[in-house]
Amino acid sequence: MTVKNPLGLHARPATMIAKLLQGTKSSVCFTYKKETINARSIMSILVLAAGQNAQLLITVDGEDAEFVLKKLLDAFDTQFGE
Amino acid sequence: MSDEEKRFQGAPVSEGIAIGKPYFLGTAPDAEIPQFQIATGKVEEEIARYRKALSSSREDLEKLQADLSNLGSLDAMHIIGTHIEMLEDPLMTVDVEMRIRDMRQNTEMALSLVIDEYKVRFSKTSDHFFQQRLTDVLDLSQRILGHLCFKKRGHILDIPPNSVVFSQELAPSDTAAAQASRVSAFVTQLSGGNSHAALIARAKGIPLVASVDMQQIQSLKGKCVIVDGLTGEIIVNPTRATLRKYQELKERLQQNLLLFEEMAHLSAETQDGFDVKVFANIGSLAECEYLNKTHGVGLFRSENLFLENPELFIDEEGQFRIYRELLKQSCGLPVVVRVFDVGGDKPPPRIPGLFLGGRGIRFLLQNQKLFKMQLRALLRAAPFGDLRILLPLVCDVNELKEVKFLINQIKRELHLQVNVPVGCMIEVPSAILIADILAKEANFFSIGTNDLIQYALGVDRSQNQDFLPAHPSVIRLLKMTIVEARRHNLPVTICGEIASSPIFIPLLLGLGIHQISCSLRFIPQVKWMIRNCTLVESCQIADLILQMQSPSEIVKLLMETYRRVMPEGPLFVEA
Repeated sequence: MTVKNPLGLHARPATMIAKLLQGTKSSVCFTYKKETINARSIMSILVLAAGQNAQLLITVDGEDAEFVLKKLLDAFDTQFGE
Repeated sequence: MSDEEKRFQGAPVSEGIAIGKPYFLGTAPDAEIPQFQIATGKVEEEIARYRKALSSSREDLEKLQADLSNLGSLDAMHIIGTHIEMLEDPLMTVDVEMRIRDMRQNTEMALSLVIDEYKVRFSKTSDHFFQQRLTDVLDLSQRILGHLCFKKRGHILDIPPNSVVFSQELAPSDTAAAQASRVSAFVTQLSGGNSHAALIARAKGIPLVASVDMQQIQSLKGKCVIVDGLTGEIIVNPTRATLRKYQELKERLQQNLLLFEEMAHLSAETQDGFDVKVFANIGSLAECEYLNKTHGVGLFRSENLFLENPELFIDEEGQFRIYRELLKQSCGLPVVVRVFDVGGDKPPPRIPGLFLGGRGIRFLLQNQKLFKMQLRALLRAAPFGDLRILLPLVCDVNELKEVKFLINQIKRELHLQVNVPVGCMIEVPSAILIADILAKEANFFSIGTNDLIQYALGVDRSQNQDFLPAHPSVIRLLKMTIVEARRHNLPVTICGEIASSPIFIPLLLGLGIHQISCSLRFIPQVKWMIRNCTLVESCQIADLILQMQSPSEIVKLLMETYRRVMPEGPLFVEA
């Protein structure tokens, strides 16, 4: 998945991702530059320092995986409403 | 120690002038963090203690957020919102609790260790923009530690009144909690113009200067310090003369505000009973507070929504909320929103896929996705007040027609019945030459003299423009616009700098201007001048000026008139 918004995964998109994952069951990980983090953690997303055009690997595992992945892809596609 | 006046140059971040006692906000040394082993039976108790600290932190932040919401600062609210969400971050909850449970570390230690590990991970990032975000995490952990019973450092609420707060770095929540009565200014070594603290300082109107060497200033042990948030200058131990100069400057700023408050409820009526409408030019919701239910908004510069903070672009929903708030706070008085005016010296929003090149309305018509988003937000907000839409840099009637078509299209989509007048800025000579054509399509005109002067006379914006509005060509252009507007029964407002200068008021009234829009801080002087003029004399002055051939002649007559009306001298005119 490519980060499209100009400022990358900064505080606001990270907060949005964490909120979006609240209430879902799957485990969700982002991998960027060989570092894998828990996507439910805003603080961990910030550590990735993923700027515009960064290529992230998203790994979703669990019973609602498909649904969660779709929600995430939508959020990335719409640039987190920015 | 020396009492000599010392000046330091920093980076201006948030405007305003402050004079106060320096206060150095330190950070606590790490040694203060207690470390002990938890007894096996006490683990649940310790975890409960941590959860309580988290929930107290949440209460603080929610209160802060409510305060910021009253200030109308959406950006600041988002920042604090992130802090609230971080309280539920697995690193803050699961990881810390695991340390308490499995390693029987005390809460303070467990949290500090988690944060230390986090810092190490973060330090690998070279990106400066992301590095700044570490501040938010450290700020939050300090807050939680503060609730775990030990004092971490001088708290922002404990500092003495009238302090100029010096700090290595400023935590966003400190800035948000600062009261203007205690903190007169912030000076930091780090927090740049992009930092969250900077955004909040601007929203709260507290001066902030960054990139200043703390140690050097601290070693001076100064008793008094002046902060000029406009120029970024810090003056330690000012001499009497310097102090007097800044006191006067500060007082003048305050007096204008005071005068405004005192006379805000009075209308601006000439001596012979003619009522002139005075509106405010504003660039943010925060300024609405000073409208005092008596002034409509003659110009809301909507592009400020992203010019001030390029980091965040506000979507339709966010814009809708801002426009609705703007209309609500204006209490049914007219609110003219100028749609995004970018291009030229004003950069467009940082969103991808924009077609650059055009300016003003042409930029918007080339980027219809962005433009329609704004129009939708505006039209949805329209039922909450008296909204008017103003188009920048119009010079072709088709531009006006195209926008009206878009507006009707959106109204149909939204099933809205509102009637929103659409006007055009008159700011290029070409628009004036076709004013009769534009007048048939527009609902009102708004003359922007700053750009008009620039394009009529071929001068630079940076050039001193004080008396350029007195050029005979500019005055004729104004006259032509007003005549055409009159013929078509259109209201005309004037909203450039010329409208905020008292010496031009008689000329403007005489030319037939009945509506003026200027910055809030100039409203008192403009209203005062209007109240001291008569319409009859103003018309005579305008007639005389229209016969004159050179700017100097015109300035001379205007100054004479001004001095006669205000004999004690140029109180408001800067030398």
